[in-house]
Amino acid sequence: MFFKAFVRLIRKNYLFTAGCLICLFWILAAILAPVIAPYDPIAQDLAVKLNAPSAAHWFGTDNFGRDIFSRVIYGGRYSLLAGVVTVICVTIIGSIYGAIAGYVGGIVDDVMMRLSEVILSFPQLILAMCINAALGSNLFNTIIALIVVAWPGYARLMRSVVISVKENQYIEAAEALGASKFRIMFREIFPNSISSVLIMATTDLGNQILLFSTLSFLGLGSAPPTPEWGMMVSDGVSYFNKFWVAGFPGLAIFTMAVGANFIGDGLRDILDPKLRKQVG
Amino acid sequence: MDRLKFIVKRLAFMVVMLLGVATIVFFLTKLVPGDPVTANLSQRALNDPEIVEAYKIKYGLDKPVFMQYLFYIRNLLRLDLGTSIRTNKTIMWELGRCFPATAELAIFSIILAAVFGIFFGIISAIKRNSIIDQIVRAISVCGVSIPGFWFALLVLFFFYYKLGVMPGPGRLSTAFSSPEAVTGFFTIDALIEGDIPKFLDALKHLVLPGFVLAAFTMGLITRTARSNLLDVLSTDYIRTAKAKGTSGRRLIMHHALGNALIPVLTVIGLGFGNLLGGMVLIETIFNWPGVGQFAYNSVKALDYPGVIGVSLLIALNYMVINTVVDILYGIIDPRVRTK
Repeated sequence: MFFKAFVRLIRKNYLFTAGCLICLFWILAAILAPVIAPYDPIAQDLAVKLNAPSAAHWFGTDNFGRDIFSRVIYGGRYSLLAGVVTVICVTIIGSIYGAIAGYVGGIVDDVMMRLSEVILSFPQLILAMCINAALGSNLFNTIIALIVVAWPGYARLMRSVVISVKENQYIEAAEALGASKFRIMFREIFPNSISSVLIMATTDLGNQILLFSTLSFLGLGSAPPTPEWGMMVSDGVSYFNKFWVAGFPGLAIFTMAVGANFIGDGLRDILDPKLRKQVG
Repeated sequence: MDRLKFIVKRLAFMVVMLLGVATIVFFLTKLVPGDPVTANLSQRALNDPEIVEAYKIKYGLDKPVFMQYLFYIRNLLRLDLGTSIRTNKTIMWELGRCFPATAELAIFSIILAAVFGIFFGIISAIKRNSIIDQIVRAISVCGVSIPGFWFALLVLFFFYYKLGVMPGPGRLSTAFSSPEAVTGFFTIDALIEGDIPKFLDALKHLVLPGFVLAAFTMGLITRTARSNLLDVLSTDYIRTAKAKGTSGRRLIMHHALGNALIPVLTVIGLGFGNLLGGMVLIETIFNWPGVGQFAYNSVKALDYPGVIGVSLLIALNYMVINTVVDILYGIIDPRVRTK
């Protein structure tokens, strides 16, 4: 059934299809980077520094004479990795946290939710910057910062779903049959609540990719010469009139985020019954 | 009475949240390696044991962490946020200097986002599933997908560097001096001085950063306005209005829009909070002397008093805005109050 819905989506929703194609392109580019990229992404060649795009260097070269096309192709790996790992981790952390708060209820719920609200009331970017500054800048710590900032949203959604799911009669039946609380939570409630969190995760992927490149742009990602897109754009700031230095890496971030958001939008359209009714 | 209780409850909640944020920031800075004494005092002061001792006592650094926390909260209640390591001025002074610049830009930007967002949302909902709807949806997705820092460089490159139709970074051109600070908003202060060219120049400087900042929020507002208007249009009372012969503009403006825009208010509130976070990038790129630039410089220089101050200010702002939105919401929509 899921597959059928997918095929229908592909046929009907052009934005969703476009999103799938864009993401597929970037996934392939990331996997096949060593095959596609014509140059070593960190090899310097000062003889050709800041060259405009040409047949030899499609996207031009940066201030160290590195080939920007090769760097963009390799850079996809970091953005994809950071985005996907963050989203997977926050889905797990947020859904377990939210499920416990929602199922146990009472004072536990109150305390857990107030804690998550405090984190939500922080400006995302500044909190991530603080964490990153405190832990030190590298890819791993940047992902940690993204996770810390993102999980409360997931937890709150999961909690609200669990609260309505636990009122179902099959939960009562399981309790009557003498199932343990642990079993009820993970065998009955969890599988019936997780779907909306999964939708949120898909729509959130684009955001995480953006936030990651923003941190990287601010110099809070990996150390140079790693070809991270955000860092490459910040390299371009000093060479303002050489548009290709910042232009192409930025375009790469933009297309990847657009692709992820098109997919998220399309999924929400088909899976949210409220919106489906409107379309029909 | 009911309304008053609702408002008091929201305000009390805000105080608790702010305390929570202050607590998190405090323990976050405790995680940071490095001694606040050496970080905050100059080398000369460090050589003087009396100053070191006085400093430790002032901030309670000679006490265990829990006592330090109490001291920190006490200083906070006295509005003493300490002194910036980077600029050697009190954090309160720095924030007071930065805030008007940021507020001016944020307000300008949220007006742009709300006007265009609601307009696009209405068009998109009325012409649902048409080609216009698809285009508007694509634009709003692009709005939330474009990396702000890149978009900022892009518009600067085209409108300032290539076409020269817009001024570059900064709040005013070098030909003008800053207007006398009354509100701290350059546009309003220039008007108070009666200096129209200066007013126009300040306004022009707001356009590019304001537009870039608005892009993300505008996408969100468009989306919310569209889906809510569609919701409302399928309700019974709209059908009744249609049956009575109301149609076209009157139906949308008089009957549907009011109810459809209530949830949009929340998004505008949230968006305004996000804007202040997004300021970090935009202000750095547009050389805008506001809170965001101060935050960026503080993090870069590991100026922790500065970081704490900015975090508290932005969190406070976020909460005030959301509380105001909640209260407004309660006034507009009675269902919220009774919940």
